[in-house]
Amino acid sequence: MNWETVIGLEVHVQLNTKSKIFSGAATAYGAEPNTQACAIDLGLPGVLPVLNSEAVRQAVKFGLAINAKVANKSVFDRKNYFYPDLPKGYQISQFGHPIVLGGQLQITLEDGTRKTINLTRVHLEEDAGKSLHEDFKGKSGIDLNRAGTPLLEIVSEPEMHSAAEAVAYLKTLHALVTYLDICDGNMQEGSFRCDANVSVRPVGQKEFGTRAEIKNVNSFKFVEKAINYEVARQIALLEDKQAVIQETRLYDSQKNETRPMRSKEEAMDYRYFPDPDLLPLEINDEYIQQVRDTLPELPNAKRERFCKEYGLSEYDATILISSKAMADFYETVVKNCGTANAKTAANIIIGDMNAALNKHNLEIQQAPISAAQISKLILRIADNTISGKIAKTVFETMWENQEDPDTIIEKQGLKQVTDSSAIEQVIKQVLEANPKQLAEYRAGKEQLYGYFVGQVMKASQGKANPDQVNKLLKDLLQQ
Amino acid sequence: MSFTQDDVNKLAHLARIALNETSNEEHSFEHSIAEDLNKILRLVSEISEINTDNIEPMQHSQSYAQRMRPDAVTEPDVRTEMQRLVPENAVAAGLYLVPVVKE
Repeated sequence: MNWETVIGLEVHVQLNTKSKIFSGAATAYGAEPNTQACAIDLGLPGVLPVLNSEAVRQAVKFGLAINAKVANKSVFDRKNYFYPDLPKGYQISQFGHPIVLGGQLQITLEDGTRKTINLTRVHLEEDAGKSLHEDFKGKSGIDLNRAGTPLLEIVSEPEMHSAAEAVAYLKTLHALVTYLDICDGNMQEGSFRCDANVSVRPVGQKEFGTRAEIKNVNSFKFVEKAINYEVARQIALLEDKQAVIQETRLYDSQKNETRPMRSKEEAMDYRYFPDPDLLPLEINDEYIQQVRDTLPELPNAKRERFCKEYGLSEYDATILISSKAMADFYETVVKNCGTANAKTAANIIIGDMNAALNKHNLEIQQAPISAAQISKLILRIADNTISGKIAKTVFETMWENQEDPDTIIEKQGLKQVTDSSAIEQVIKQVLEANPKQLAEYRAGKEQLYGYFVGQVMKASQGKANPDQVNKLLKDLLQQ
Repeated sequence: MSFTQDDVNKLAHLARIALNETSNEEHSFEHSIAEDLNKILRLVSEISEINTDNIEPMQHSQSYAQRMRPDAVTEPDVRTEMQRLVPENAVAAGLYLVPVVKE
């Protein structure tokens, strides 16, 4: 039987406010345990939550960026459950009346296909603390620094049909929240966490299959693997005439498998009800307009502008806008070396720069080469001082010892040979050294042309100007 | 809607309340609680007889909007004071210690 995968995603985005959503305790990452947990976060008797205006502003900003309906009135509810890292015995969340409803995200797949994913809702809530299970005399340790940190929970419709679509959605969302500057996007530190609802159904069937929820997968790579594993598991069960059980599963990246987390018997019943400590949140249209006025250029608009202004392909533009830092770096380079070199700049950043960043596991902000240095390198290609091929060598040296491109070109004698007579000399030597190939070429074996180009470039140590080599070689071969 | 003994047991479990009263000869303790809850529900359900078609649902008993505060760190580190409130052996390395809660 042919199966269709159905995926809906719930993403928790940690908002980058200075203080917590309902208290004035700090939210900085990595502080000593429990030093950023005040009486409100600990749920001591007699305390009252007071809402952080910045968390609300960021939620509205997100809602506007996805073209959603920002609710003029929303309500905070209590979600009740017992867990040691939840001191109050309930999490303040939004259930029946979330702050943002609907909205869309346009995703671009690897092959360039565009697809629009609808969102169900977005709501504000507080995070819980952290349980540490290292051995503390046979007990678990609780750190409540994270308790009360503002989260935006973003829920998609079940409209994705492959792990690749889910990853594209997550990358698009990740880029959007960092562009909006409402989240630092740090997945290792848990600032952007994903739960995936996965089910399968026979192709053509309208009703959804029974879904499993995979919890807290914290990298794009693991999301893809976890979903692929889960889809294969469910199909195997169904083809074996067994049923999929609705349950929460945990992804184990070491074993590359998902396994049940909570048993069915303990199915949660959160008994939501409006939090009497908090009044309804009212947002008027004037406020919404004020926030709208602060929206920056968003990724899709930037991609279109990059294609139009710099003549880039959609593929290249998509890579460059994948993070705001990357897009800013690119634009700084282009500003320095001119729009005429925009395509070369894109090639170097997407090719050499990205390869080096990946190899050293760095973000572009941490690169040892500045945008100004890259521009200089590009100008040397543009004015024919070096060829594109030699530029790669210069780039590698720049990365290693942070030297100026001009210094490197000078020191290593990499200057391109543009003197026609010098190039002609080299070509003549090559032709003389290869009489057999020359005879074959002249007898009609034209594919040997590339061989001669290679030999000439090799003999000139890559320094001969490729355009001139082509032109002169053709002439000399004709003779 | 009416409560059964199973519902009572489930709620008690979710609220982590122990129902350990001894049952009388005829009925269990859970049964009498279920009966009491049903009486309360019947009373409350009289509200549903009122026509509320043109009334906006109420979210809070006070008709004010939520006040907000500026995003500023105003709470100092109170770990020492807070951890003085728990038994000495329930704190280690700045953490609160609880029975192991691994999934």
